[in-house]
Amino acid sequence: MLKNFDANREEYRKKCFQLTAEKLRVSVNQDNFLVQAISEINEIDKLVNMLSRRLNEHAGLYLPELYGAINDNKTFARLISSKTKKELMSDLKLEKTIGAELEKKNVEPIVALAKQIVSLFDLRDKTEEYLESILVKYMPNVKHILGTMISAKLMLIAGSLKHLAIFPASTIQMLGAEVALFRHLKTGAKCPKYGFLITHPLVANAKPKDKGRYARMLAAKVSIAAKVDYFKGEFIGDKLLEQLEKKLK
Amino acid sequence: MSFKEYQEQRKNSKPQGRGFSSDRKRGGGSGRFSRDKKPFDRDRKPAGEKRFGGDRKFNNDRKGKSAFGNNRREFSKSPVKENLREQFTSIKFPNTYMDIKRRNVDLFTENLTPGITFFGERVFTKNIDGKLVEMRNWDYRRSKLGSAIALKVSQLGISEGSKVLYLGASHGFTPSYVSDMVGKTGFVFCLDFAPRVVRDLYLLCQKRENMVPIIADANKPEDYEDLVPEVDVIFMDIAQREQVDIFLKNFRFLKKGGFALLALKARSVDVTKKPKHIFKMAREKLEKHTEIVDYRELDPYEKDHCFFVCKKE
Repeated sequence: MLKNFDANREEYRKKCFQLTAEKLRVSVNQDNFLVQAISEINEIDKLVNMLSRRLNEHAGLYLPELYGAINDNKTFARLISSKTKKELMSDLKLEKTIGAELEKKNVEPIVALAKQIVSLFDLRDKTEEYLESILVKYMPNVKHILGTMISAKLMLIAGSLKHLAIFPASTIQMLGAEVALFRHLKTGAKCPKYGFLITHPLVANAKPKDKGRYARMLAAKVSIAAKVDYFKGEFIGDKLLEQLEKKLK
Repeated sequence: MSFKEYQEQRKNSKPQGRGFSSDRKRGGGSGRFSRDKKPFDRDRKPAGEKRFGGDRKFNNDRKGKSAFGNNRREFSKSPVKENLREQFTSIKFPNTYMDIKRRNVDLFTENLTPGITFFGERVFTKNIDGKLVEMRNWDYRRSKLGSAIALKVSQLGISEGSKVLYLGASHGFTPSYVSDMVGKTGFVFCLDFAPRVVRDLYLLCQKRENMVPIIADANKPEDYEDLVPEVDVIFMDIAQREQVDIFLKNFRFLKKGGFALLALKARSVDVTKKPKHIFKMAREKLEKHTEIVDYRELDPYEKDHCFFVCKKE
């Protein structure tokens, strides 16, 4: 217990702030970078989808045929930002469009929006590269089994590699399905079989009957890999994945 | 069209349904036309239903406007309410005031740092006994201690000049009001475990002279034993499974006859059990070690939470 607190309050305050600042400075680590990067990607995705929808509406005023021909937001934005209406029409082999003839001043904002969307896509790619570079060093085994995006999403919920290593395999299987899981616990509804792991190709391409089983096996391997990563073991990701693929065939 | 033709057309056409200008001021929904309708008209569409065709999400025209128009507030002014507005009184807790309105109350504390606010809260100056004092609005829906006060808790043990150990300080919303209550002579030790929230807390504490941030785990009192002196009040608000045990562990910092306040979140103890059951279990556990002075369920403000006021014997 601290004594003589009232006598030297100011000194105590200074000491406390120093201690806390030091702990704050030390607390920044790889987990924080990972969580920030994946959250950034998620938010850019949301933003890009919204803006792309707006661009489709806006550009539809002068060339509605383009959206039907190209169903990819990225190339759509890139085409509109780089080419004029005439060039696009010749690409689509059109002689006439149902779109209106717009003045130059009305076309400019459309092109500006398209340029912004293209730059957002570039930013997303860069962030994903950065994310991958961290994952390869920090948790190579988990990354090898799950790929970049799924392992990052697991980290987002777990918060840190330490937590991910402590989790049992059954918890890892449920990560990303919190709503369904707690509904099951509270009301006795059906228990979910998988969370983020459903996007993994091994589980996604399985028959509906097998998906739960495959997710369970995958989660078991991920749990082993996370423990190896946390305690800085050797690289065994390829072995684990091989074992899994053999079993599933 | 000549003026005469126009006049004739006006006569033949039906009235436009606008009423007098004095009626218009009252706002459409609560004006005289709605009074003709039955009170529970089933044909009327509920407020949330789609009324405008097309892509509603991308139609920004009506965003932020209520269906009643913008004059609603003007209409709600009445002489009765004006009288009630005068009921701005201090309550039994130090530096704390209550503004009683028709349906609910507003809490205020005297701002310790006039001119500086941290959470975008409403601030105004008030003349109290010939002294100009800055009042800071306490949104008690965001704060468990605040909602306990709004639910008329009998005593908290906090008085001017008392030392408070605050476990689970987070961003420092409630701690800042506690520091208002204890005043310059008092002191608040704010403890939290997560570095992210302590970052905000640190900046807040720098501007308030009677607060200090500490990074530590409340489950391990040995770690911060040499940082905290004997205190008058302990307040704990952490969402952990072993909340009650952690609470009892920290009693070592409390002086004899001091108060310990616990905001218990039932959902973090066990999601599957009913909150009332968990409250009962916690109560039985606490009664073995201390005396429970008061107990509130914070239901309309915080779902599935309860509030214990304990006294160390």
